[in-house]
Order: sequence, then C-alpha cells, then structure tokens
Amino acid sequence: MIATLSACAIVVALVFLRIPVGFAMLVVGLAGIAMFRDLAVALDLLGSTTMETVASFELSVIPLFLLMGNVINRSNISRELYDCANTFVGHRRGGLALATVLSCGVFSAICGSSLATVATMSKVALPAMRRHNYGDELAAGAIAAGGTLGVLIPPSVILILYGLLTETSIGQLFAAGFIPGLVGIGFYLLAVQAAVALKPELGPAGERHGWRERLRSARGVLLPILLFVIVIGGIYAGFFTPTESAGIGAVAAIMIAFARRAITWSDLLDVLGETVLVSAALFFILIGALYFSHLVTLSGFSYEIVEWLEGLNATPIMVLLGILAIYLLLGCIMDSMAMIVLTVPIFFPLVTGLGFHPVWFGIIVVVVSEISFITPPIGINIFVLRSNQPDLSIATIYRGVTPFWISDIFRLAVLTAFPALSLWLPSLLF
Amino acid sequence: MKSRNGIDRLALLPALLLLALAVITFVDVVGRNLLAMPLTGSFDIISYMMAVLVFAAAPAVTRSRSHVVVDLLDPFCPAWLARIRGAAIELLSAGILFLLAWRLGLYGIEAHEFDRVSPDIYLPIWPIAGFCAAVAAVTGFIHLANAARDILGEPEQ
Amino acid sequence: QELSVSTWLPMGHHINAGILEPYAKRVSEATDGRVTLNFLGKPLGSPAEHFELARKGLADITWSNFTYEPKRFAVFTLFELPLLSDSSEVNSVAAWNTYEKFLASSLSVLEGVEILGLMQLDPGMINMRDTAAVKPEDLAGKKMRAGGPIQSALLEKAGGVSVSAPQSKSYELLSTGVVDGTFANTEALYGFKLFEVVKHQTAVKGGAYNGIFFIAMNKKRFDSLSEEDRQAIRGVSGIELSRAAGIDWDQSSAAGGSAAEKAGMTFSEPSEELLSLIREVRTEQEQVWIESAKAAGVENPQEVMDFFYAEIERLDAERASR
Ligand code: NA
Ligand code: NA
Repeated sequence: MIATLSACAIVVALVFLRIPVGFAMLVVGLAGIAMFRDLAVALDLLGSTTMETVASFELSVIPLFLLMGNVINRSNISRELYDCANTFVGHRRGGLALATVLSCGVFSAICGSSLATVATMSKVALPAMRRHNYGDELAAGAIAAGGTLGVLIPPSVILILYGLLTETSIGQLFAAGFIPGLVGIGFYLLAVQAAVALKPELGPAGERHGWRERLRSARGVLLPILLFVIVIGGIYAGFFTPTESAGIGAVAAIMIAFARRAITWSDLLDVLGETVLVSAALFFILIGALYFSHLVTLSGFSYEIVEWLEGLNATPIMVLLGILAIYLLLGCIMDSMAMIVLTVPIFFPLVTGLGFHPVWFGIIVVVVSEISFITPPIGINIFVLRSNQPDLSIATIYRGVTPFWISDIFRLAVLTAFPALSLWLPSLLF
Repeated sequence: MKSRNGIDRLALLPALLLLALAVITFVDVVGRNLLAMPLTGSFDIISYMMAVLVFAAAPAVTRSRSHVVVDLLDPFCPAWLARIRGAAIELLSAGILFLLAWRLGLYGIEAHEFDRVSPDIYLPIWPIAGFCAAVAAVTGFIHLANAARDILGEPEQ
Repeated sequence: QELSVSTWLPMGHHINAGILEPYAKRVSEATDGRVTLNFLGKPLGSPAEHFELARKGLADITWSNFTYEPKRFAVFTLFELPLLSDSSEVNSVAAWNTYEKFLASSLSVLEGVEILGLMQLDPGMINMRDTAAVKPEDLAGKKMRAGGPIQSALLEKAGGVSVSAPQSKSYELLSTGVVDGTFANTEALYGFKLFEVVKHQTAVKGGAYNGIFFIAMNKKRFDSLSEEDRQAIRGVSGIELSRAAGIDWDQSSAAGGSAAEKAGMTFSEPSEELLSLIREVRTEQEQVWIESAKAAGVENPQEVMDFFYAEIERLDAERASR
C-alpha cells in the first residue's frame, strides 16, 4: 500500500515539475509495473493499453461533445442568452449576476465543458456587468462559478469520463445530473443574493424591462433549448445512445450555426482544429491514467486498502466523508479531469463495495470536482477567466468565488444527505 | 506555420476526421431510425477513426505545446532554469513517444501475424497500429526539436 | 506459486463466483496449496485483449470469447453454430472432446497458451422489448442488438436492422428503445438484468446461436510448474473444468429463466418458418466454417463437424438417461 501511495505522490510531484500529466503517469506506471512484475510486462501493457484507449468507439463522445460546445461558442448564442436573462432579472439588485448564473445554466445544458462556458461567458457577461458598475469580484465570481454548472447538467464530459471509467450507464448519469444541476443554479442564485445583501455596492439594480421586450428576447433561448431537446430528448426517446448523441449534437450545432450565418467554413475548420488539439491532449492523459491504473491493480492496492479500512473499523459514511475530503484537498492542487481519471478507478470499487450507489457516487464526484474548479489556489476556471480577462486580479477572483464556493459545500451536503435528488430521475427514465 | 484559416496545417487531417466522425454518426442514426438502414460496421469504423484522429493530432499538440501541464510554479522559476527544465521535459517526452512508437509497432506486427481484426467488418488492426507507431516516432522528433528550441532560447514558431 | 487471473466481469458474476473461484479452490486442493490463483481487482485490458494477455503472460490465467478475434479463431465458430444441445454441459463437454481429439495439437493459433477449459454459454435466444418475435416477419424492420456473423446473418434474412454493441450495453439500449430486442442467452436475462427491459423471449431449442469461451493459461508459466503440479492441475482442468463450467451455465440459465418468469416475461416457441430460417443460416455457416477450418490447417473439417454433432447427440442421450 505504501508503494502505491508513493507512486501516486511521485506522479503529483512530477506534475508540479511541469511534466505533462499523462506522461507523468506513464513514466511512474512503467517504473512501478516493472518493479511489481517485470519490465517485459510493463512494456507489453504499454502497447495494448494505448491501442485500447485510442481505438475506442465509446470515447468518440469526448471530441464530439467538445466540438458541439466549441461550435456553439463561436456562434452568438451566448450573448442572446445573456440578454434574455437580463431582461427578466436585470432590474433586481445583483440582477446581472443572477442573469449570468441563469444563462450559464442554460448554456451548460448544451455545452459539455466547464472551460468553454467560462471562456464564453467572460466575453459576454463581464463587459456588461462592468458597464453597469458592478464590482469586479461579484462579476468574476458569478462567471467562474457559473461555468461549473456545465459539468453537471447533461451533456457533460466529466460524467461521460466517469461512466467510461466505471462502466456506469451514461444515460443514467445524465439523468441523475439534471436535478442536482438545478439545485446548483438555485444555490448560486442565493449566493448572489447573499453577496449583494452584504455589500450592496457590488451589484446595483438596473432598469426594468417590459414583458414585450422579455418575450422578444426570449427567442434567444429557443435555439439552445432546441439543441438540448434534440440531444437529451433523443437519448431518452430512444433515437440514439448517449455515445451517438455527441455526434448528433455536433452536426445539429453546426447546422444551426450555419443556418443563422453565425459561422463561416473557415471558422468551422478553426473550431475543428482547436477541438482535436484539446481532445488529443486529453487522450494522452487517458492513456497515462489507464496505464497507471494497471500499476494500482498489479500492486494489489484495492485489496490492501479494503483490509486497512476494515482494520480501522470505519463506518461506510466515515469512509465516504474521508474520500470527499481527499477530493477537496486534491482539488486545490490538481486539474479536475486528471483528478477524476487518477482517483475514480481507486475509489469506485471501494465506495460501491460499501454499498453506495454507483450513479449517485458519480454525481457526488462531479460536484466535488466542480468545487475544485473554483477552489483556490488552482481552480482551473479561475485561470481560464483570468487568461481571458488579464486585467482581473487573481485575488479579486478568489474573493468573488468565495460565496459560490460556500454554497457549493452546502449543495454537496444536501446531495450527500439525500441521494434521491440524484437517483429519482434515472429511476423514472430507466 | 498557420494556414489562411488560422488552423495548424498539422491539425488539418484530424480536424477533417472529426467532422467525418460527426457525419458518420449522424448518417448511422438517421439511417437506422428513418430508413431501417444502419451503416454497417460503423462501430468498427468509428473506433479506427478515433485512433487515427488522436495520433494524427499528436504532432500538432506537441508543436503547439498543448499537452496538459500544471504551471502553478512558473512564477517562481527563473528564466534560465525554466529553459533547462523545459528542455529536460521535452527530452523525456521524446523518450516516451519513441517508446510508444516501438511498442505500437510491435503491437501492429503481432496483430498482422495473428490476423487480428475488428469485430464486425473484420478491418485488420495492424495498419492502424502501424500508423500510430509511425506518427508517434515523428512526434518524438518534434519533441526533440522543442528541446533544442528551449536550450537555444528560440521563440516558438 | 501464485497465478494471477485477469477477469473482465465483476467478481459477483457467476463466471467468477460459480466457475473460476471454485476452480481456484480445486487447483489449490489438488496441489496441496502449492499453486493458488490470485484474482486481480481489475482486468488488464479489454475483453478482446484477454487471449493476448495470457499468451504474453501479462496475466497468468484469463478467459474470454474466441469471437472477439473472429479471424484468428475462426476455427472455433464451429461451436457457435445454432441448434446444438439445450444444455451448456453437453455443449461444453462436446466442444472439449472435439477440441482435444482434432484441434489441440494441430492449431498454431493456440501457441503460447495452455487451454485449461472451454465453456459454452447457455443457448442464445431472441429477446424482444414490446412484441414477441415468433415468425420471421416479426423481426422485419426491428432494430436488434447483435454481435457476430450468425446473429447478423439471421437478422438480415428476416429483414431486421442490426445494431452492434456488447451485451453489457443491452440494458441501456433496450430501456431507451434504441433497439427493439437483443440476441441474448437466458443467463443474461438475470446477469445483465435484462428481464427488467424485455418482455418476450423466443426460446429456440439448442439456440438461435451459441457462444464459446476459453479459459487459458500462459504456456511458459504452466511449464515452469513442477511436473507433479502440472499433472494435478490437468486433473481438475480440461474436460473436468469444461463440464463444471457447463453445469454452472445451466444453473445460471435456469436462474435467469425463473427471474424472468417472475418478472412476467412470456416465453414462446419459434414458428416453423423462423426455425427453417435458422436452419438455413446454420447450413450456410457450416460451409463458411469448413472453408475457414481448411484455411487454418484442419485436414478433415467435415469429420470434425460430424464428430462434434455426434458427441452432442451421445451426451444428450446420456444426460436424458440420468
Ligand atoms: Na453540460
Ligand atoms: Na481546483
């Protein structure tokens, strides 16, 4: 057990030395397997693991969902969404921040990725809030946190990753994420209200919009909702599988973008190129993670840790709380995608062995990883926002995400205490 | 080296493959549901395209230095040290890619020897493994070029 | 000596709990505890990699389906033909005897491994979500999860639409209605909880198709054991392991059937037209097999096939008289 934990620690150390995450796992995996078995086994597993990871029908969802999100990103949909949300809630105190959370929520519903949501909304929402004299910290916090809604409301790349790593039904995971996602939006709205209640100068009220204007702007919501209905509706209506839904969503997004003349062929080629770069980089992490998990298997770690826990006489809920604490700690130093691929293969058999529901644990893992997106010092959304808006100071963003971070902890507690919030919808649909 | 569209030319093949992947899925689903005519072998074809897509994109990922790294400690690293560290990591990465090329090549040779094929339409596996091996080797050399650039302190292309 | 076992289904699945773990116990007993089996917590590769895992010694013992590598192991499709025995025990023992008599020493594709046993799944059936498929017309235009050439050929003749996916995806495909039915053995009704999502099974006597699994060990590792231990292991392997596995498949099949019945599933017989369609597929696939067996260096394929069928008949009669 000590050897396996040391291997994990070495991976983290190498990653901090700026070695690409996937390569760090490959190097440590190679050395470790050579130690536990022999070099020939380590080398042979390298070839088969790599082929298995890249020649995968199931993993085709990753580039395709990223493509759908990036295409939507290029077209003007995010601005229209934001304008629409603004006409409804902009007149309240902190209304533009509320609008940011709401439009992030709707945008999430079609975009599989948190980063894309933050990158997009920072271009749309931040200038608007600054025009209306909002405090930078509330604006930044709402955007960075709103982006995390993307990974829970289906479709979600992280849920897909979890499903693939654990052989849990992706359709059920998608259904399970929906209500917790809505709960998340609700809690974020409360977080905005709390922030402006404490510091009213952060979010002065804007002008009120009439119903005619609201209805006119509501057209902006129709297309994203149409896309959501096509993708998610198609899955549950039995037209296609979750795996196939990514391809359908990508084609539909491209057709909608062209129909609205929102992108050109050269834009599309650009978006395709951008997407394959990100996807390929992600696949090298996946190769490394799967290979590293073979080290964990061959070292007998999962048996040892179960024995160790039995020796401790820990109750299942204590084990679960311990695991959640590890995630929150890891989330402070690690990229969430890497964290999931590294930890889920280790924790999943343990947690399900204790009798927790695999789908529910998936939702909990995703919520925790979302929290890590906005957890200082390394919240990936914080950095994406910062690289898109270099004039925002990191300290401002840290301050801004705090109320959202606190509300996330509340949400985590609620979802942990009431598994039905996650499991009711899938039980209805499957 | 950017084309007119701003896309790295190295990424052109995988980019088009990705579009094809989306279209194939679409055609398969529409054919199955509306025409009772699925695309035979789409499972096999998509698996294969994925392998080609990922490895075909590897040279562009390396040249644009798009691998996922944690750069948290960058502000504390002086420029001279960053250059040495960068070169060392690029050398290590080159080593990994050459290792992958070697093992994927062997995998391909054995796949050829043992007639390994895809489950539905019996596409041979060796050409795909061979392709991945070849591209991995090329990518290894690009890592070496990156290392040289780091040492010499040359700006990125 | 500890032998590592890579298995790609959860430990609770009957292949592990009902076949491999009891086998591990028998190996340990037969060798007085000198040889034990150590189940790895997670498979070291996809199901299709499991023959290679054993051949290269990445794991010492693995099991999988020959048809994950359809061209390499084309010879073994003989055992997947439709309309064999209703009993996995009979099919497994017949397959083992045929393998031992004609194939074991001559097949170059098995170099590098010691085949410890062969096991036949319980016969494959036609399972439908909404309406029973009794006649060929009932399958026309229906989307079916199918895997392998025999299922596809039958579906094509009946005018159905084949959706290719592993059995583990059946539940999701059926529950959302992406497919109208699936080819599955009765054990899978319980093993993959399919009884929750299918309402009708057309029970084809001897199977609309069949499936064969190998249990293999790395040859070098096997040869590295002492002569005494090898003999001890051989004593509980081969026909013994194949029979034990077949018996467990029969029991699991019965359990699947009764779970399905309790859930209100209906069982029907195929119509004469559907049966003759299946016979047609069998005749065609027999020819395909004879060609591929010749290509694989089997000298007298027809004799092998006749022997296999005769074994099934003999063992079926023996079983009936028990
Ligand atoms: Na989403
Ligand atoms: Na974090």
